[in-house]
Amino acid sequence: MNKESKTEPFENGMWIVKESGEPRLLGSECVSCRELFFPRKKREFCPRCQGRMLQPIELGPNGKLVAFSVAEKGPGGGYYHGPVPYCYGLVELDEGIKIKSHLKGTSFRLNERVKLIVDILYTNQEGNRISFYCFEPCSDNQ
Amino acid sequence: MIPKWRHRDVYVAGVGISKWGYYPDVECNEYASEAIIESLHDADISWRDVEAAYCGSVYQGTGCGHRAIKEVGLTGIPIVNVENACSSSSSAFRLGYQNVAAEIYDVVLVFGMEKNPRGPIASNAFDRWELELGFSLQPANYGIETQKYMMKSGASIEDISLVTVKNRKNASLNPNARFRTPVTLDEVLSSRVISNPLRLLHCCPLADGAAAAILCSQNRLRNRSRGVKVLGSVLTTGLYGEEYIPGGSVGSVKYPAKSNLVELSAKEAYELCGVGPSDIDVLQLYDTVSASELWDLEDLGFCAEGQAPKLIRENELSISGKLPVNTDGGLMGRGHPMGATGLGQLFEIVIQLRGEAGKRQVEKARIGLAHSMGAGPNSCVTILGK
Repeated sequence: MNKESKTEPFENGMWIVKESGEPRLLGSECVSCRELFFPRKKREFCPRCQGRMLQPIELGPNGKLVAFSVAEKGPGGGYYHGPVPYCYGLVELDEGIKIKSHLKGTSFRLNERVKLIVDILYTNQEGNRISFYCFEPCSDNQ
Repeated sequence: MIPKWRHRDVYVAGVGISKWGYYPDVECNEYASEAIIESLHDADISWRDVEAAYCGSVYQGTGCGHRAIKEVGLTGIPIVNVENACSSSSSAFRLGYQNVAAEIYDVVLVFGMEKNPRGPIASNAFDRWELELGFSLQPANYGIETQKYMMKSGASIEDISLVTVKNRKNASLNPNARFRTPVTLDEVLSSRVISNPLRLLHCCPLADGAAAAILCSQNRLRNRSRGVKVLGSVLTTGLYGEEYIPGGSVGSVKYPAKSNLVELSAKEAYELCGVGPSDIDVLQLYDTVSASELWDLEDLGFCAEGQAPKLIRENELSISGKLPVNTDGGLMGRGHPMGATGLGQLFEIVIQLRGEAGKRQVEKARIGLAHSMGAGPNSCVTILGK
């Protein structure tokens, strides 16, 4: 009996998809020092200034690629089920926070503009598609 | 903290090491106890005189140090197992040093050991969501750091590869090293790609192994001429806003750290020990990947930012150079049994300062420095003097 396959995030609460179809990452901002955090802090406490008020914030979708490497083999431990090889690196969002992200595409240049997308990481044993956030070069890049 | 002048002097009375390699059929306890027994013999100190023990390891599990000590003899002393990532045994050394300096004990055993799990290691130094996205792959994390270093310093892939060539040459002179065959620059540059820009021979090989040291106060030193003084040991962890991808920290854009943990540990160590980079004759640095030996030299203050590639090109980091680094082959040639590496580095410094390093002896070595890093991140700087 085939159930209809579903799409579910690899982890809840890391991004939302706007009505326009554009995704945003979900983070936190410290009300006192304005530092940004991703993923969203579960506790209202700023590890930079120890302030006790954080507010939810949406981050993205635009940034630039600041460093990357290609993993030719997957890590041990059984947590990672995505494709191999895979490319990941650091993206600096326009809001002023660096985050680690997979990169979708075949070739990348340092400092090139990248854009947030939601893509499928893998299909699990129940046949459900597991989604994740990643970045790809902007289509207007040279 | 209690000022240094109130500490009593601490000496490394003896050291022991097992030959590092790949021993699928040998229990970790066996070579760890071998290193402990060798250190006791080297120190000419009886096991019954040891008052406390600290064991560094990463993947050996609950009570692992106790099991190794069971092979030497249970005497009821406190045994504490220290897991502090790849700086586990340098952290164990520091605890032993503090115990003797603070006059809590006169004689302490410190040792480190590792039997590595096979294949890629299941790291638990990252959050679960990072593990699920595959961000725990250390060759790729070091690939990112290497790319950043090459951009900043202008180091070429040849410069970085020369570190491997030098360290494998040094390892060929070290009977305890895992890899004793030298490699050429071409072999490094044509080895298979692991994580861009890193190739196989830019990444340190893991190993199984153990190392041990007996620390004691001056009055318990049996052979004054062979004792090596601990000038100091400093352990620092990451600072808010600094970036070290293999250590699991992404830098802050709004509030980047003004210093990094390595610079901080070096500064504190030089203050504590009353010596500076120009006083140091022999160095053991953390060449997890070839490029990390170069950025280590800069962060520890041995040269200005971006100058380390010039030092390796001009052969200044070899045994006969101005600044001999990783004389035993480093992680690259000796191998990297994670929990034992920190003490393996200190073993080499002790042997060098005693003038017992044979073909890899640095002339007139009086003061030596060892630096170990670890996920967390951790940075541990230990300075020994003769």
